[in-house]
Amino acid sequence: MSKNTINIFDEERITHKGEKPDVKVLLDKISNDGINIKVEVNLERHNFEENCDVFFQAYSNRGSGLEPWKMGDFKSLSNGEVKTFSYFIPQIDKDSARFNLFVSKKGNFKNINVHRVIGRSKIKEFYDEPDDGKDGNYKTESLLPTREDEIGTAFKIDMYPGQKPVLVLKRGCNIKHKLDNNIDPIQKTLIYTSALRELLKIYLSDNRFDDCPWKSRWFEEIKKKMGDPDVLIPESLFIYENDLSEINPEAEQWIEDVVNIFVSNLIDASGKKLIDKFISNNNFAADPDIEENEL
Amino acid sequence: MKLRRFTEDGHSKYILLYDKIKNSIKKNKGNIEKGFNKKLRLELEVLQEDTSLSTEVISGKNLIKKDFKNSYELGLYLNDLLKDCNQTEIYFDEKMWDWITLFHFDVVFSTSMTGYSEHRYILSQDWFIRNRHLIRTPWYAVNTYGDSSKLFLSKAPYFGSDYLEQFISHRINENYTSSAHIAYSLYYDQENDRPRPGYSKKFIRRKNKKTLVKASLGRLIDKLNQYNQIYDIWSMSPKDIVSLLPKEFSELKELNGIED
Repeated sequence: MSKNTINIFDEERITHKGEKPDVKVLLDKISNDGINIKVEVNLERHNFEENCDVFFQAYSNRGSGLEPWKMGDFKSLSNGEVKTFSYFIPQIDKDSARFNLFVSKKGNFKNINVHRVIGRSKIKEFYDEPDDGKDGNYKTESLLPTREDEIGTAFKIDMYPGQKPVLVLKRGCNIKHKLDNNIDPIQKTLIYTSALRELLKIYLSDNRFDDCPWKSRWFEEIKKKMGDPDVLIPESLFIYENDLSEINPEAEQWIEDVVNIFVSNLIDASGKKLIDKFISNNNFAADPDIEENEL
Repeated sequence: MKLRRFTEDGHSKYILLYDKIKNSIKKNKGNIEKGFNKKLRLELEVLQEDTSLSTEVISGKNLIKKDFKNSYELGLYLNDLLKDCNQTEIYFDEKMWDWITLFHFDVVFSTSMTGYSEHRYILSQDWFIRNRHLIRTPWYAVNTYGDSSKLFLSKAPYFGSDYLEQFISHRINENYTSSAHIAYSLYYDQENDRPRPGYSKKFIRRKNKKTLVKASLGRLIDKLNQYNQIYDIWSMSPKDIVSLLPKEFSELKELNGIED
């Protein structure tokens, strides 16, 4: 059956990526209680009426939107200059932050005063240079971002040569929310321990990743975190001898050391190690509960 | 007693004690009176009196043991109690919220209640269940929605509310606070000083079929989500948004003296 779409009125797209975007959202600072961002706006290529208002709104990836901030009217944001705004967004982490810039026009519908959205940009990530892994703009990025998808298992690693690896989490079971917001140290420890082991094993065994810039980025970060610039990164997970291969025990040990530093010893804002939170949560975990009739 | 928050050890002891209370009720087949026995009541009193398991909260006022007619009264009291505290710091401070719960345990735990899930007494950070907390949620609702929160907090403090559960589970309502004012203007029966029955659920089972309840709170939220896509609802007055609502809401508007 064909699907009909009724276009009630035009909503103009405001760009936030690519070359010369209309709006750039940049991560400025991360603190314990939120993030500071900078927003650069120049809407000169659009033709909205001068008295239309422009708003910027932050929301979490689960939909909760803060009250929009008014940036000014269209006239003041389209005079050819790039205007920069600074905002603090409380109680949100950089990976779950989303933004919405919209242009609002006063109007009338059936004698009711309405404010229509006539231009919009839905922004799902911070502005970044082209994704070649060499730009050096590390501070806004996670080296292992998470994504939800319809998968059979609870989680898996998605890796392709030349692309940033992604931790794919099963949709509809709240894992992403718990991981992104550090809610459940048990799940976090188990998932990241396994995911990181797998990621490193692939990097050390699949030669299609030999020239992958993300492999280089990962290994640079590992060197930094291990605190010893002279530490040797194993070349391969396997030792080849006389057409036979066997697991390289040094590579195996190196993987365990890295996982220990990146996952078990991961320290939160209050200085607690993830493995310690894992232990205390396991010791105090309540029995599986029966749903009550009344909430 | 001045406002306090649990130490790590105190919080663990409180969680373990509630686990014991819950298991005891379960063993007694859901009978709260039998489950919350004399021994457990004594253990609770000892925990309430042990000040070594908690520390004072800066800027916190004095808590008073008293009865509350409903969750709204409790929310007003808590909002006043905490108004001088750093709101960001207390927002998810489970050690403080759970200590207040322990202090006012007899307010939120009653033999007349039907549910005894730990989420009502132990604050969870999980978005799906955090609003079940019987102490923090009345504060949150009054603090966020003001007088309109009366719609969600009309029951005794030891009951959850269907209006609250249906409303708060939609993300649009977290910061778009006008939605609560709109809901209050439609669903609160001023004459009888209570929420209008029959509108809190979006679907009910009628003749064994899932049936949509016209003009229900869920339908209102559907419309708000739709308007949020095409209108700048943040800049519009709640009155104008109510005027946009479709015919199914006409009867409700009339009941509340709102011009269609």
